[in-house]
Amino acid sequence: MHIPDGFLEPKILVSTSIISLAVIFLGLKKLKNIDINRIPLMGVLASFVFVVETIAFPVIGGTSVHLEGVVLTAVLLGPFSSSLIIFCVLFLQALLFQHGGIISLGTNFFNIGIVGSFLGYYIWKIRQTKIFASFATFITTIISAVLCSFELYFSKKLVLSVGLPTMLFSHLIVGIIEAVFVYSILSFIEKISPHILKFEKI
Amino acid sequence: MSRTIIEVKNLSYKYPDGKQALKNISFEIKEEQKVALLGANGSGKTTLLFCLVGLLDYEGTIKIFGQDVKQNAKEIRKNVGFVFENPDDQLFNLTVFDDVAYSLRQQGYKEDYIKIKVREVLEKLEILGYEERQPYHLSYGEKKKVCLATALVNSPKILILDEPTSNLDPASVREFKQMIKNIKTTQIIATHDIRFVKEVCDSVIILKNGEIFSYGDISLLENSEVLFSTRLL
Amino acid sequence: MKHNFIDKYSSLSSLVHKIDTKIKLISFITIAIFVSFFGLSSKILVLLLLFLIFISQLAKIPVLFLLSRIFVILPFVCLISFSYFITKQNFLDVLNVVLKSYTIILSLLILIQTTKFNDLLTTLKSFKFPKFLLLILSFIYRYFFVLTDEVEKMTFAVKLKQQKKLNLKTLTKLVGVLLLRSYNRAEKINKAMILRGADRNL
Repeated sequence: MHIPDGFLEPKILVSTSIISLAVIFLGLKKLKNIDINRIPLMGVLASFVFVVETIAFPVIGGTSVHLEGVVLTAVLLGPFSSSLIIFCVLFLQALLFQHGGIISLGTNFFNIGIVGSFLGYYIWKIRQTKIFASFATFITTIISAVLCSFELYFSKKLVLSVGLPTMLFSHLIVGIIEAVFVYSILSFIEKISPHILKFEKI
Repeated sequence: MSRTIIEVKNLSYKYPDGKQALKNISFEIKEEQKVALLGANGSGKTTLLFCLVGLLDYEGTIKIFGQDVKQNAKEIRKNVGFVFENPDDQLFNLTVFDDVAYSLRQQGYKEDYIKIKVREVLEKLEILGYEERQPYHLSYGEKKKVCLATALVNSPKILILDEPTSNLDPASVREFKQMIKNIKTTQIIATHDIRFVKEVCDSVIILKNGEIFSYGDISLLENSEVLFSTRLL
Repeated sequence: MKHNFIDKYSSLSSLVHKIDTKIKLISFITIAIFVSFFGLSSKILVLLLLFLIFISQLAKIPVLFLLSRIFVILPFVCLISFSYFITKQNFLDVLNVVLKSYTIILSLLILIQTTKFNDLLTTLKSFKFPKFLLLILSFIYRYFFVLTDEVEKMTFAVKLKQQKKLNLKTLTKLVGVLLLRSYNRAEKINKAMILRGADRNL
């Protein structure tokens, strides 16, 4: 979930933002002298993720879900590349759609970008199969939601007895949908254009 | 007597999946020639153009300005303007100015100089005032003009155009024709548009299945058999 | 297809539009940090809000549009309200949070709706924002409309085939095709960049 501004206490904002800054710094360093062909690829894929996240996928009862692409991006390009891409996506979502705050960007990036890109990537890396990618998607979705609840709890805005069940339950459904979706996208790619899966992962 | 500016000898190229795209292609292009590169879809036109600018790992020799393309690609590219078929592939910056200025910025020129050069080329193509416009919001014809501007801003000695008139309405084609005719550089134009070719070019290279089917003066196009067998008619 | 919902009003002309982007950006960041890090009372926040509303009207941003943006924080407001209700805490705290959040959102809107995206990126660059990230951001924006158009064409084609809504199979194909097209496009842009002298030095 993208937490808006005004809901989190300074200590949460600062601690998560420091970690986020460190990861971004590291990512920029790692990607400093990459092949030129990686640059437009990251740019266009970032646009792809941004656009896909605007597609509303209708679920039961008139509600709709927006798909995330974090684990997919990490599986395609690697954790640091994915982090930078997702950071930019989150930044623009906050800036242009007010989906998530600007000051809380560091926190949201921590929950969604770092967890999805790194934890998601390394879970997938165990076997590098579609199943593990789906599993990674599911787990990281749940963990993001749990982190969100804790951050709101430590900001004294939410008690865990309300926060955890709500977040867990809602993200259980989202997590399953996303996991299934990642599986089917990877199947599609394997069938039609498997060579893109061999791209170097940084 | 004009000198040879492009020399291609025994050029061959195989796609990564093994399919032979170009086979044993040889030809020469002289300074200020306007050459049409004709051929059906899939005959290898774009592949040939990419080889000329060193974007693909080909077999054989290509020399431009007397220099081997594989060794001196970077230097050669400073003097070659390339216009892609799809403007969205070429215009990747946020504004027209940024796109046209891109190659100059990459070469490290000062902003003042860049401003002058960009204005110059936009004026030449009658799109002065478009500097702050976003590529997405331009009409297809305007985008094509901007693409041409990005290629011309370097004052290149060779201009390569890949399907310049595809998807353009007849009025825009006419405009484009006029602009191209007024540009004095050596030109290689890959196209299907025979009428365009007859009015603009002086020589043709016709490709069929990755090989040169016919190559020479524009009068070759009067032979309808040639055109039929290469799927140009 | 025109997509002007992103920075709908940034092409208008007003006193606020004319203010240097650097000043607007610094003002926004100052307000956002102040509100996030200092416990401002609801009274002060209301005054600040009134001031911002005044500025927004000088900037000719429609009031209805500004008010509608409060919906982004609604899910979180409901969540914490429920938590406060259960724990019988002071609801005025929730009001304070809403005021904090909306104040920051309003100041962000004033920034975004009076600034061209390109100018914003240029200003960020002058504040030493990492160039690589700015590049990705510009790609996201540049290709957002292009990709959204492609999505629209594809969903239209799906509708023509009389499929009522987006099910998993169609969504997979849609996103899958978009992804592969993105890879193809990136390759072509890569060629365009190389031909125009792109170097590893960004």
